Amino acid sequence: MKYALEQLWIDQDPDLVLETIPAVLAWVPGKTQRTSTSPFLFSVEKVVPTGGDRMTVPIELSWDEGALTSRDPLIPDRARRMRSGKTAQREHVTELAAYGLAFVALSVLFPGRRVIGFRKGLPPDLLFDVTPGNLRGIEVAGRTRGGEKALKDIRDGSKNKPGKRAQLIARIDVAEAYLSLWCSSPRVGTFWQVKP
Amino acid sequence: MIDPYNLALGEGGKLKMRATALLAEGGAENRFEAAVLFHAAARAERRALDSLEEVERATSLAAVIEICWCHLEGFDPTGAARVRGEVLEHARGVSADLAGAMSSRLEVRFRRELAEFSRLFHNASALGALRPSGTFIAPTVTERRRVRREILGLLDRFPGIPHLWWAAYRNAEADEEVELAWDSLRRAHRLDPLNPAFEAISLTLAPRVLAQPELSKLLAASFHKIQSRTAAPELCLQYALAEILLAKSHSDPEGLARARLAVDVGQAQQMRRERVRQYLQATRLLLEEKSAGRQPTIDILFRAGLGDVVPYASAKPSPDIVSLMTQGAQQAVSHLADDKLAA
Repeated sequence: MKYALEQLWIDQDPDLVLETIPAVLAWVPGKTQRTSTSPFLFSVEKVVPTGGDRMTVPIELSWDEGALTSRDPLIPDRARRMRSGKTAQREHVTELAAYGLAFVALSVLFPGRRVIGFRKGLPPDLLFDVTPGNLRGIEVAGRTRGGEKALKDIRDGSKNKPGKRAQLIARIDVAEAYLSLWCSSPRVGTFWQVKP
Repeated sequence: MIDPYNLALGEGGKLKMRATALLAEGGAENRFEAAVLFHAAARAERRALDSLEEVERATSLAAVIEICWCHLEGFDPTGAARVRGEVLEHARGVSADLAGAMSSRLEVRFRRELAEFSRLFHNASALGALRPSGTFIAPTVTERRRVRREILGLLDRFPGIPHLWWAAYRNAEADEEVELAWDSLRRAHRLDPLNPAFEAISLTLAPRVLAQPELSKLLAASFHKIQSRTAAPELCLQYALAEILLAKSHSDPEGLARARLAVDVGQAQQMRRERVRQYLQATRLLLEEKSAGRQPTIDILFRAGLGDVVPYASAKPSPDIVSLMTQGAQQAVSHLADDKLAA
């Protein structure tokens, strides 16, 4: 499926997506010249727990810098600052870029659904229904490298760290939850339905 | 109609996303601006929680975890520590498994940040030594310089702690470095705009640093709060005194009328501090004397219950009453903020 990044302004809340776009521009191309030209192909594994259905959805992400700058002329400068940032900043760039890609995946896989809330202290991060006791949303994470193995570790956890999937299952106040995990090298992602 | 819960949560979400983007762009000023936004997001989350009539325990726990997290993201472990009690209380209302799943992310971060702050604070020995005294102004210039260096060192790592900016203001003002004092005070106020002392004291410092148009704008914004009955008594007091001071230099009957309204609004509220109540009463008496065409004397301080202040105030037989009141009121309001830092 093809998706133009500037389409996010229509599919999602512009105030939320605006902040993630410079990070997507800074993070997705990576450092190597060979793979740094738009479009960027993400192999996204979509998993639905009922019946264990699994399918791979290729998302071909592209952007038109002119169209992006017509929305916000500061985007190229902000992307440049994020690209050249120090280590402490890079963590935030990865985080923001993963939110941006989650917005893209939500718009592609669930057309019409819009994120209306954002939480950082506890999962899920992006909420499309904030009804108290009945939250619906997406938990997001990104890794610069490690591919599917790194994403699996985030999902299932390790000896000392609980997985995000188990945390979401334990939450009785969350009615519907997805895991949206991204890696920039290699470019893979998962959109895992955790509940119901 | 959009319900207030959704509205406040939506607003908080946007503030957090913007703040995260500022952190990703890097730079010291962006870190401070991000801290301001995270503090605003914490207040939005609080408004969302307060707007609910009936709250499930898991919902209130989620809300206070998010508020606590916003303080941590906003480089303010002391703010997070204040909310931590609520997290522990609300966690007792849900199962241990659920509480663990909800707060595990917070726990790790909270402990790390608090340990880091404690380590840095205990290394700041000159600042730490002042703490039991209830004030963060060191007695000598040399000591104040050292305290300021220590405060700025802490702020470099934790630029979101409003009371550290307040302490920076207090020390800079004591050394007559008004530009630095103003910058520190404004930062404290931007991080915590609901703190009545930060805003009220801005009115006493502003005439020394702001040009007339900016000063008028600041006074107009304060008067708007007074008219809409949303100004705290401390702000009402400092506003009234600022108008009286301005009226001294150029006759302005409208300014005195605004001062009278400020006193009315201030006195109609409950006071946190007896001294603030007494200075508001003294201001009322001073305005009455002026409108009767009489020269106010020190008697108004006695009549307002501030007799104990007089013997220490001035050795002159007829001291400048307005200046005495301005200094005394500033001290009374400042103590409100100093208390937050004291042991």
